[in-house]
Amino acid sequence: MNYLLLSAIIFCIGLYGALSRKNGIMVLISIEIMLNAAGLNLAYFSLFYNPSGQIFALFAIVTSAACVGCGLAIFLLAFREKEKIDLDNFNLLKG
Amino acid sequence: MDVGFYVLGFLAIASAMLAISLKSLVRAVMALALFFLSIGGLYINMSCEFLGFVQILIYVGGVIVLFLFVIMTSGNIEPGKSNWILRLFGLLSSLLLFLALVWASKPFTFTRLKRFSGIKEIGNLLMTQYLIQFEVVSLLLLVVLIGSIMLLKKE
Repeated sequence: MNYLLLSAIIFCIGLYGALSRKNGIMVLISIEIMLNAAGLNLAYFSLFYNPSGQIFALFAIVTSAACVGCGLAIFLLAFREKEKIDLDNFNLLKG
Repeated sequence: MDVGFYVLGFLAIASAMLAISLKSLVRAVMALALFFLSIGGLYINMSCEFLGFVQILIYVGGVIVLFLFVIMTSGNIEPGKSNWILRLFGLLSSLLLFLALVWASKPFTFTRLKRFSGIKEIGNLLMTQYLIQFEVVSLLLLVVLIGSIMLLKKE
C-alpha cells in the first residue's frame, strides 16, 4: 500500500508542474514524472497478479522515450522559429 | 519497516519537487536524473530488478542526455514566467486528484504473491504473449527516429 501512496504523491507533483509551468521543456519534464509514477504503480501491481504489469511498465518506458524524442524535436523547431519556448506563444490555431 | 523504501521514496519526492520548481533548466534536468535514479532504486527494492536496470539505462543514459543536448545546443532558453492563477489551479487540481486516488483505493486490500517474477519469466512473456505489441513498439521507435529527423532537417 505504501508504494501506491508514493506513486499517487509523485503523480500529483507532476500534475502540478505540468499545469503551472509555462516553459515547454518544463512541461515535458513534468509529463515524464507522471509517466514514471504510473510505471511504479504498474510494477507494484505485478507483484500481486502476474508479471504482465512489468511488461506494461516496460512499454510505458519505451513510449515515454519516444515521446521525449518527438517532443524535444518539436520544441527545438519552435525555438528556431520564435526564439523562445513559451507555451503562450503557440496560439496559431486559435485564430 | 522497509528502510530502503523510505529513503528512496523521500529522495524521489524531494527530487521531483526540485525538478518542477527550479528556475534553471539544466538544474531541473539534473534533479530529474536524481528522480529517475531513485525510481530505479525503488523498482529494484520491490524485486523488479530487470525493470530497475532498464529504467536506469534508458532514462539516465538516454533521456537525460537528450534533454541536456537540446537545452545546451539551443542557446539560452528563458525559464518562462508562471502566474498565480495557474499555480492556484494546478495546486487545487492536484490536491483533488490526490484525495480522489486515496479515497478510491481505500476499500481494497491486496495479498502479495509468494513467488517473485524474474527476468526469465518476463522474457518468455515478451516473446510469446506480447510478441505483436513488442514488434509494434519497435516500429514506433523507428517512426519517431524518422519523424524527428524529418522535423529538424534544414531545407
